[in-house]
Amino acid sequence: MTTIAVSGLHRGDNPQPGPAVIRSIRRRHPSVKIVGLSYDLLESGLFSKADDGVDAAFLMPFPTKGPKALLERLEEIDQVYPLDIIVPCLDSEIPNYLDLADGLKTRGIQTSLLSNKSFERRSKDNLYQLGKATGIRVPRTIVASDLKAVHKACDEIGYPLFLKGKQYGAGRVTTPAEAAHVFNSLVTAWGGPVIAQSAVSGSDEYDVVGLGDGKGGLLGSCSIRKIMLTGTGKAFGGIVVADPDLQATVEKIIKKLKWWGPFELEFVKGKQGHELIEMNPRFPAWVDFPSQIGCNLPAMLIDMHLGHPVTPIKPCEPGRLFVRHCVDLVGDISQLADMSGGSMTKDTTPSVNKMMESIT
Amino acid sequence: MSANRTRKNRVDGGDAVHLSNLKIINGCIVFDVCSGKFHRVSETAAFIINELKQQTPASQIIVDYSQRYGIPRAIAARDVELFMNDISVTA
Repeated sequence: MTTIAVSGLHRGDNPQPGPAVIRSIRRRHPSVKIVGLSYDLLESGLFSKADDGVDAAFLMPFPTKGPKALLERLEEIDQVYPLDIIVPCLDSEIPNYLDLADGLKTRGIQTSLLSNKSFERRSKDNLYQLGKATGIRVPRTIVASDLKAVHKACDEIGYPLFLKGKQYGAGRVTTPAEAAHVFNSLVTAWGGPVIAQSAVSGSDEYDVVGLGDGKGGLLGSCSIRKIMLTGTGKAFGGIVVADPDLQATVEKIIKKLKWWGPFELEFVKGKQGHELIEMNPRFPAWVDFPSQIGCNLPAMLIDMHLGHPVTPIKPCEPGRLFVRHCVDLVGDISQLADMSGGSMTKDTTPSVNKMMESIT
Repeated sequence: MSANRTRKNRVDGGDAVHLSNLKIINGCIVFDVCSGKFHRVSETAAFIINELKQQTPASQIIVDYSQRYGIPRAIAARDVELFMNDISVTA
């Protein structure tokens, strides 16, 4: 039986992809064991008893602790739940997993095969250069490490613009005072530097999820227009589009980066067409939508890891749409007690109990 | 009046709409498969868009419209002209 570890389990107001990835995987591989990698006792996915739930879960050290701490924890988990594959679903985790990929492979654990070079070239601070290299429109971007540099960048770009954390967080600013406030918020929450990015004048946002083969090819993708947004600009609903220009842009990026694995590309459509505003190195939270209409990219990723033959998936049908639906999951205080000890499980395999005792 | 000419856009807020990208869904929603935008339309609007998609000449659309809805040709011509003024299409 294959055991797959998945992170990013919280489906809050800024939903993480984990449960959607789990549900997609189980659509094709219903017998797999899913181990949740969690950073908090209250990550909502821990409480799901449905097909997006986990068979066991473990508390993890924060990504800022670095690859060594991650490896130590994964080795502990591997002793009780031998892992075959890890699907990291949070941006901040990816660098650690890239560092550990070879070491994990020698332990029989597959994870991202993305190269560090590809990963870096799509980062927010390098995106503008990537756009230049590929001939794709990217809003003007300046990296700023302190408030003085932020004000200078804002003056150069012109208001309004966006200030973004290197990995998370963003705020639209229209004045120097707002810039100072957003800069301080981002640095406090996520650390520096921040990225100042010109605001594209366009109201339509497009998202593309896809899977690269690592050789420049695209194994599958699904493009949507966001039709409902949350207060933070996240897609709460989307509709499939079939835009040859957008598709060509996506293929160009993947080819240039020789991208391996999952990605999410975010575009705003301005007067001059689509402008790339972000590329995320993981599946987005809505990835189970295309899985339900014939484009199951997480399952394909598992097939890739397992060495199964994969062939490119045909495009999704335009006009299919999703609307997110929030539900209340029931939990019990005993689950919090279990997780506060470092792990929880749905079954009662002795090795897990033993491990829980050792942690507590 | 020609369905092949580009008109000032009103439908999609800035971008030209290509007829080949439009799908009429259940006779009441027009969906642009390329931009992902969709609009609720009346039966008569859907009728005209369908004719445009088939590259029916405007003069013939007026004739068809007049016959379909049993209205005088002059009124049909006004309706069709007003509608086409209100949308942007690029064949």
